[in-house]
Amino acid sequence: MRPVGLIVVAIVLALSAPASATGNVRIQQRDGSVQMYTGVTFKIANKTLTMESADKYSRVVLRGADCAHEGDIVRCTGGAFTLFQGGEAHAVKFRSATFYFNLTDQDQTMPLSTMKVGAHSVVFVMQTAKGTYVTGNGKLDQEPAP
Amino acid sequence: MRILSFILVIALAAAPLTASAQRAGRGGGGGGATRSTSNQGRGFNMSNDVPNKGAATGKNGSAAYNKNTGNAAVYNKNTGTATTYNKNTNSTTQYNKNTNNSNTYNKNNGSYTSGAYNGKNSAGVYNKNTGNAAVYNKNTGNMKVYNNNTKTYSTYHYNNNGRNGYYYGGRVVVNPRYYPAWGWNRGVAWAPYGAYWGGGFWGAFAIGAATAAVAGSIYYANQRYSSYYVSTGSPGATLLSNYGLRQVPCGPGGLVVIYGPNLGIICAQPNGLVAAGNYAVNVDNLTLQSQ
Repeated sequence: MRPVGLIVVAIVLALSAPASATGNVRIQQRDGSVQMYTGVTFKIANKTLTMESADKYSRVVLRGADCAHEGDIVRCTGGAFTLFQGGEAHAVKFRSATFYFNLTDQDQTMPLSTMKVGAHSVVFVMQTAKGTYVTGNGKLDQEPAP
Repeated sequence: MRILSFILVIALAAAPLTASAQRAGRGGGGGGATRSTSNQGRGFNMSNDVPNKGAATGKNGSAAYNKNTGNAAVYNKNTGTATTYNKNTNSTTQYNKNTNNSNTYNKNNGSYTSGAYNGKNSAGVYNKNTGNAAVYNKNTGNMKVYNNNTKTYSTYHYNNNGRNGYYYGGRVVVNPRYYPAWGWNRGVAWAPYGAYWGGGFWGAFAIGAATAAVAGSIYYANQRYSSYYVSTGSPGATLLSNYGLRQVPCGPGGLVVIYGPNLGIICAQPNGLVAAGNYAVNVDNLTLQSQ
């Protein structure tokens, strides 16, 4: 194979290699105890955000949220929150949930803040009806086509 | 909107979610804990928000937990033991099918007190402090009681034919006629007839009939039962004849009180064969046994 061909193959492989499109989730229980989860996968498909734990035992699905553009950031609130775990689906009631999506190719600054949301990333915070705080951020592994 | 954004920023800033804090990296079965408790490596811990009940079956047994009641049970098929936890009493009980016994541990008083055994055909209770135990066999209707002080077993037989609901386990007064089973009825099994007082054992007295002459009454198990005069030719009359007993109205003390089938109770004067006291009837061989 010619050197040029090898370079092309190398470039193609590099581009098709899975990016580290994962993030982190922090869960603070009602009793104050905290669990940290890394390697969480975030995906958006069919107006549904899915978060999957690294061990793939848990999957959280958020759908039906109210979303609106705020500049280059999409802000979503509410929706239905379902936890799939151990082969069962559990609807989780929550008091508040806010998600910020940056679907652009550049980092975006959040409103009234100097904090940035990375390109193709999500940042969120929610509180369940039982008082559990779930916060997280991460790069989107899959997102809707522009 | 801006306020929410501000809150979000605060929340995220408070959470150590930056890349530098996540050196644990991917894998690790769901991530590593940073402070306080670690997650269990089984996905997200949302136990406060979702029902946490269910059953698991493993190599050596199975387990179940009910979050609503707080009760739990685990069974180990290798040892043949099952352990249950009762949140209300804060106690655990271990059932052992091999030894047919059980222990209950009560966390409140920190001591073993009593236990219960529920086997295939029986149920029982054991008091570790006194060493006494009782086991009920649902097939026979009998109850076996162990007295640790006397180191003896007593078997209380349910009066199966009569369905009287009482047990008798005392001395048997052998019928002088020495009947084989149902020999007193020409070998035909006798069964009480529900429409008759005493199942018809003492005579074909329809329940509530005014024709039967009342022969006093007996107070038994918080209820007063009327007694009636025995009809000639009835099984009960044969019984009295065999023992040489003469029926008298119930009420006074010092009588032979015979609890027959279906709570048909009659009284008789004691004699040299049957002393005063309470007796049940074994209708198989028409035998009296003290209670």
